[in-house]
Parts: sequence; C-alpha cells; structure tokens
Amino acid sequence: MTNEEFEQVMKEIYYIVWPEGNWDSEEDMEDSYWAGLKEWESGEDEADEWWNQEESF
Amino acid sequence: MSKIKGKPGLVATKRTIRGKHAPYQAIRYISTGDLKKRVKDFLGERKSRTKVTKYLSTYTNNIDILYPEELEQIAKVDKNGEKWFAGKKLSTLKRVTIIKYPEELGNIEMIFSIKPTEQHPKIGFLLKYTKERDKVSSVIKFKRVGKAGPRIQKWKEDYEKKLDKKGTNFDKQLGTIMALMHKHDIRVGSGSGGIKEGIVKTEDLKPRMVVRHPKWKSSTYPHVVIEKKMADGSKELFLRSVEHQDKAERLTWVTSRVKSLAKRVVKKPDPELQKELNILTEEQLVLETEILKPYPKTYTEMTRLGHYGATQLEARHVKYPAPDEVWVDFIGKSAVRWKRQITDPKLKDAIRELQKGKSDNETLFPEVEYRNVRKMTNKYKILPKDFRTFDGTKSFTETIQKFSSENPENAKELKLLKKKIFKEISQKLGNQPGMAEKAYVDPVVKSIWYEGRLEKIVRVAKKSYVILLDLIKGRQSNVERRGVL
Repeated sequence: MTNEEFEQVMKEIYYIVWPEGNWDSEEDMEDSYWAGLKEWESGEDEADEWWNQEESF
Repeated sequence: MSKIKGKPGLVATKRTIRGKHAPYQAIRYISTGDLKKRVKDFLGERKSRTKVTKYLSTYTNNIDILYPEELEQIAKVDKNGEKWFAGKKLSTLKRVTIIKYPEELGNIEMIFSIKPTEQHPKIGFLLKYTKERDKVSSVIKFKRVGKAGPRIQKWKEDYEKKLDKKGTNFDKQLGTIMALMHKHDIRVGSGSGGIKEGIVKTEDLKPRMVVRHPKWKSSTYPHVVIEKKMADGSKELFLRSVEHQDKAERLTWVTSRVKSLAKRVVKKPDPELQKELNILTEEQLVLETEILKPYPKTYTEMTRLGHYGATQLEARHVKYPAPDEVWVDFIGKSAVRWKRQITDPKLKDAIRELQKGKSDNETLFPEVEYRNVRKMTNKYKILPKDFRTFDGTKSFTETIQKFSSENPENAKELKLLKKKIFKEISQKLGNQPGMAEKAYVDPVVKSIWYEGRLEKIVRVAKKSYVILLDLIKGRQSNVERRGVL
C-alpha cells in the first residue's frame, strides 16, 4: 500500500467518524505538533509502553 | 504464636479476564485457610456491627470464595485421574478466593450498537470522551497520522543518506540515531521526566521516600516506599499506592491488633480471641498482597548503572552474542531495559563502525546532542508518536487484507484472527504483539475493523484513489493538449 492510498483510507474513516470535520484544513496541525513535542520532551508519551512492560505493576 | 507463623500464606496471581460486558482484573488467592466459614461464624456470633465486622462484611461481598465441592466441577483432570486447579493439586486446596476489580478505562470509550445511533447514523457506534480536550486532540492526532506519510518518507530518505555516508562523522552519527529511533523505537534521551524520587511527609507525618512515574500524574497516585520485615528477618522494599489510603490505614490497625492479640493468646489461650486472631491474620495477608507491590529491581539497577537514551549510548551497550548479530542493551528512561537486536544491515554496519576501537565507557555519538535530533525532526515536523502510529496503523490496514477471507463467527475466532494479525504486525515492527496492538495502531481504525468495515473502506479508498489519479492525469493531459494546441 502506498502512502497516498493509506492517506485515502484514513480520510474515508475520518469522514465516517467525524462527518462534520475538514480533512484538508491545516488549522491546529501546527499547534498539535508543538503540543506533541512538549509531551514527547516531558516523557509523557512513553508512559503507556512503560506500563505495559512492567509486569510487577 | 507458632500457629500463626506456621499458617500458610496466600499466593496471589493477577490476570485479565474477558468479562461479559468489559474485561476485568481478577486476583486469585489460593490458601489452605477457611476464611469464609470463619467470617460467617465470627459475624454470626457478634451482635453489634463493630468496625471489624462492618469492614469484613463489606470485604467478603467483593470476593468470591470457591470451596472444594465447587472446585471439583471446574478442576482439570490429568492422565492419572488427579484433579488440578490453577497449577495446584485439588487435594491440597481448601478454598480459592477470587477478587474482582474493573479494569481501568482510557479516555475514550467506544460504544457499539447494532442499530445506528443518532450521532452516527451510518455506522451505529459513537465515541464517548471523558473530556472535550481529549476529543479535540484525538481528532487532530488521527489527521496528523493520516497525513504523515510524505513527511516520514522525506525524513527517512534524509536520514538514510546520512547513514550511508562513510566514516564516523557527524552526519553518520545523526543518521544512526534516527534509524535507531525509527527502526527500533529507541528513545533519544534518558530524560528528566521519568521516575522521580523524593522525600515527603505522609499521613502519619513520618518522612517517606516517594516514587512517581509520569503515568501516575493523571491517572493514579504516587507510591510510598515501605520497608517490610520478612518472615526470615530480612528486610525488603515494597511500594504502596497512596490511592489505597483507606486500606493502608486498615492494614496498620490490623497489624497492631494481630500483634497484641497474639501476645494475649500466647499468654492465656482463649478460643474467642483465637478466632478473631485467625481472621485478622488472614485479612492482614490479603491486604498486604493487594496493596503492596514489590519495589521493581530495575529502579535499583537504574540508580546503580545510570540511564541512557540513543544520544548517550556508550560502547559497552553494544553486544555481539554471535559474529553476525548486533544487539544494543541498556537501561533507558523510566528504568526500562532496552534490549534490541539490530536487524537492518546498514544500521548494523554503522554501529559496528562507530563502536570500533572505543573503550567501554566511551560514547558512540560524541558529536550529536539532543538539540541536533530535535532540529532534524522539526524540519519534517515529525514526532516519534507520528511514525510509530503511522507504521503500526498502515501495517494494520495492509495485514488485514491478507486475512480478509477469514470471517470470524464468534468471539473466540475473532480473538484468534486478531492474534494472527498482530503477530505479523509485531514481526514487521520488531516489537511484541501486545505492544503493537496497544500502542501502535490507531484505536479508531481498530474499532472500524472490529465492526467489519475496514476491508471495504480500504477497497473503496484504493478505487477512489485510482479514480483520483486518473482525474489528475486526465486534467494534465488536457492541459498538455491545450498547450500543444
């Protein structure tokens, strides 16, 4: 599957789940990147995997 | 005292059970005691509902106790006719206690219905969020992953060029770090946002060491470190969540009560006191097993050895168990041990080259710092979460097509199919099937597949993409034609 085909699949699903959404709009995407970067740097995005690996918890 | 000391303890096993409505955690305690009967006797003989009786009656409502006659019906029989339950001979068991807890739910609850819902008349399921903020970020994250393909492709081409360079210069080092991040999911740095330790004053106003994991910021509570004296006199560290404060208080009371009762019973035998002592001793064991968790050895190891990320790897972290095998093995962020076999031939060569001639504690990437990594990912606006979910979700949509001829008719068949799919995905991603399912595939895409709709969407999307391409090509040829004309 090419990247373009995959994007098309995601777009189809997007409009099924969020019919009111706008796939082509780039609004919030930039903000989301910086928010994600902050999350990445704080280490919060890694918590889930840590949780899965620690059997004792 | 000898009776108490010689009394067999409880063995606890924790597992996830697929419930009728939702999965739940079951903790099974196996004991040779006879709690339920004694609790009943104890409650029956006491007229007033004291603190003890009230607590015990609440407690026994939450647990399920199976007696031999009930165990007989569900026990497994071996070739010799011997009956077994949970790996123990039935003849050695007096009862089994099962305690049920609902499993923690995430931020998103997916509710499926057979009939279409008002919100989603087309497919009949809706997403329920606990917070509006989560809904917004979930929609944007989904879109980010869907659109990440071209950016990830460019980033990959860029770092692979760097990886191809000869020697051990800055570019080669940076390319190697990027490949370790992408292909083996290795973190950039050891980070400061991992486990935090500190001293606080607890409810009993005693200073205690506290450990806090980033995960616990939002969902759970800090854990207090407890030093416990074991039966053989040795001391071991345990963690206790502050969440279980009420039970911890109860445990403190029960422990001191057991101690004083034991002294009195030894001094002057009293059947009434002995009865209470037996119950409380068992309750003490149950509470301890439930709220105290062993202090993870990796914490100690982390403190002793330090913790590392890709940019800080040292020569000693590279291992060659066989001449053609290259492994990286180190303690990473949050005390997680990262042990990964490097499978990509180019990456293997690069690591060999960068490690060559270096002493154990010498760094593999002396010229690269975290800011260099960030600069490169910023250029393509790529986050580890993006390429992780992109690779997992794309791999999922590809893999389900392979199994599209299989039509599971019940939950068991669906489970088996899911197992096969994620086994294949995890082989591609180089992780474990459970990890691939939990952390790599977008939950919305997974839910669409559960509904049996993903295969069709992929077919439609592929078709509409072909039409789109034809349209673009048609437009281009029209333009060309017009240009010619």
